[in-house]
Amino acid sequence: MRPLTEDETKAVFEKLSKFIGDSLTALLNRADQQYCLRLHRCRVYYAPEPTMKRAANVQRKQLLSFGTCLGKFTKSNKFHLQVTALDFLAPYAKHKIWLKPSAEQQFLYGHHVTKAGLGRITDATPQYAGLVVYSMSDTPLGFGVAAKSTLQSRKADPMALVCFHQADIGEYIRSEATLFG
Amino acid sequence: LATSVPPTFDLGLLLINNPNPLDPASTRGPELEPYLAAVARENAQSLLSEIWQRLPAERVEDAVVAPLPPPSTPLPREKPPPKPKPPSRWEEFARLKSIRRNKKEQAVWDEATGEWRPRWGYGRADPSKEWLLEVPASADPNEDQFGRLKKEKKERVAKNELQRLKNISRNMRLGGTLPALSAGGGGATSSSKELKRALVVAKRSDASVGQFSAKVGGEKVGHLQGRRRHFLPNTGSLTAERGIQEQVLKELAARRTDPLNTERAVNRLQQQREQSGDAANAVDGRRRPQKKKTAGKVSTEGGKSRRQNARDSKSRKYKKAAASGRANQKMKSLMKSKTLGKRK
Repeated sequence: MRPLTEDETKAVFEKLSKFIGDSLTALLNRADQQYCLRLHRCRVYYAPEPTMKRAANVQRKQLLSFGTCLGKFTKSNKFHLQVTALDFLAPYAKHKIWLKPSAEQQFLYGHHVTKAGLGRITDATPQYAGLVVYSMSDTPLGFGVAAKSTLQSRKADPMALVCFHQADIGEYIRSEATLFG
Repeated sequence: LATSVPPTFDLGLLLINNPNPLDPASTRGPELEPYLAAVARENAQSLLSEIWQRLPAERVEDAVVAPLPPPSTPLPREKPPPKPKPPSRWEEFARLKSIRRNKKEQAVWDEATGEWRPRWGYGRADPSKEWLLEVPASADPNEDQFGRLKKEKKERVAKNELQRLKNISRNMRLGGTLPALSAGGGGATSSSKELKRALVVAKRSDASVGQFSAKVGGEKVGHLQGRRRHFLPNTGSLTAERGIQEQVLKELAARRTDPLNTERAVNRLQQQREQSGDAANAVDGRRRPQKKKTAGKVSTEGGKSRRQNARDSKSRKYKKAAASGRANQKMKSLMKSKTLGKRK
């Protein structure tokens, strides 16, 4: 486990700011406890400092996870967001998309969202913005990237893709083995 | 018929050796200079033809090149031969007293562990690593024996270093050269760059890879020299980490080009226009009473300033665009729907 280098911090913050924008400072400067970001086996963990100190006492090979895993760095040092970060990022989401009940299941299986499944979308969403995907009952389902801006999606035909799938809560069951390394 | 000796060549030195004597008749008078030039030209010509004849030519990036063989003519020394190193004080003493070096075995019998240990290096029986030291009868009982050993070792090392430097200074005084640095590649520290390289290598040639080597005045050390990467400490003060995070956040904020999000404002305006247009043109078969609109022309209430007119013209432009949109939609709805009543 080690703190992130400058390049790694930049990659993580860029990704997070696509989804939560300026609220990134709220994640870092918290009132209750000092939270920190740590890198362990290519995964970025977000944990309060006392938890991190305790986790530092575990052997590297035997430490599975601590705090919340925000995402992982790939072999070519790109940062991918994981669904385990949903609880922390959903309240601060800048752009949201609500899915119709018929499209929920498709999204939870890992497919992209078509116009036919689009319930609501935050207005003035630019194209390729980071989205947090909700169901109609305001349950966060996962992360996505806007394939079309709000205006474009209004004029799109029903089979066109509106949101690219990035992570969903169905992964807790589908990718159980790989989600925690 | 004068027989001329063929010239010999040393192609490694680009040397042609023409032993034929100069023609005595031509060396007198005004023909001297042209004669000498002619002789030189002929010799040069034969040298070049010998090069291209004898040596295999290669082609290197649109140039024909012939590699020269090593020179065969022995040349005299360029620099004076090196002086023998004057003996150090110990060497002088040993010579006088005829003390000879005893070749020592590498392994020594260690009584404590009951095995053969190397005399030096890894795995040696180091007295400074003893866990138990007896206090000798002649010593002060409150004296720290371990500290005493450490101090004595330090003093011995310092004395040795002093002797070594004294020897070097004596050498220099008697006209010698500085001893070669082994890190510099066997004495090749002629340029300042090689010297710097030797310093870097020497500093990192210890167990902690130079982390604790003191910085010599004016030395510039690259922060990633060596294979080891340096990370921030995991626990402890988080200020350095915070600093990096603040820095990155600042950079991200600086990259944001549109803080007011004009796109959002424009989208909102357009949506409002569309919504109000939709409400007016309900497509359900019933005609709603429509206000009469003057197409295109706008009346000017007298006495308005130019700026007010400009502002009005802008809002007029939007209204016009919206109105034309509404008009189009009305037409479309009329075309599509079947009106039950009469059309006005």
